[in-house]
Amino acid sequence: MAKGHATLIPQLLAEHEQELLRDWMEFQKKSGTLRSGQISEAELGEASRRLLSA
Amino acid sequence: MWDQTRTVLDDVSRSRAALGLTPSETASFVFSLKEPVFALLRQKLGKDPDRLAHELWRATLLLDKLGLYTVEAFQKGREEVIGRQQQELLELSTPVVRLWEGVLALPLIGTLDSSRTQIVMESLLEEIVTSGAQIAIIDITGVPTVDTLVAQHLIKTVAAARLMGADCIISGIRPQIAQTIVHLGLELSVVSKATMADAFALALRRLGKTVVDRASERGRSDPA
Repeated sequence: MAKGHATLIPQLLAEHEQELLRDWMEFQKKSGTLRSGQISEAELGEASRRLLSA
Repeated sequence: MWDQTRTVLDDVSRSRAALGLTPSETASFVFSLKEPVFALLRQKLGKDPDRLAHELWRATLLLDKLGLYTVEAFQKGREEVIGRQQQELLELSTPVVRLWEGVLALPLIGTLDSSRTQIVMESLLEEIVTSGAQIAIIDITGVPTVDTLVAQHLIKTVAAARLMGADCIISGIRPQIAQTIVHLGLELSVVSKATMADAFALALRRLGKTVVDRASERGRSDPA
């Protein structure tokens, strides 16, 4: 494994934040996160956006 | 960066704990980020398998760590909710009732432990000060067992009430509890009565009050 490499993850997260947010939201919705009705789509979107931009 | 991340995860975990979601539902919020992150890494590094494996490993470590942090934060949030509810239950379960001018009653229901006894004592002493009561009836009809510790708690409460100028009467000692107290060789050193009614009657006598049955009196003075 390429141990010497610094990770690209922070850079990718910054450069593809909107794309990741869209795909992540889709995945969460498909996996039934909103099904119980305890969390709204707006709340889920806000929490996801805050975590990605943190 | 980490402080901000932790703050977001704390907020998410606490709000989900308050909503009654499970720890795994809460952790899934973070773990579900693996899918789009892995897809992006494959898209960017698909031609460099070594680098891709390295980045996938780093992403896994990072997201697992964040997921576990979420579970811990969730647990803390739950404990806070439970702690608050316990405190509220304790306060609700120790009402001090004014039965008469100068007479208070403290009906205890459930198990007595150190923290509950502390609240019982505080509520009783506060009410003694507020009302200027001379007698406090501690009713233990609803206390399932009395062991050495519970007896000590009761004795302390009685002693503290005495220091505040109020005498205590303990009522509701059931036969089994009386036997336990005798078997344990405990000395409550306080007046006790079988029922709250008996204790109340004694309290009224001590205060020089008399209960008069007016209906019977009328019957005697007004022969048909």
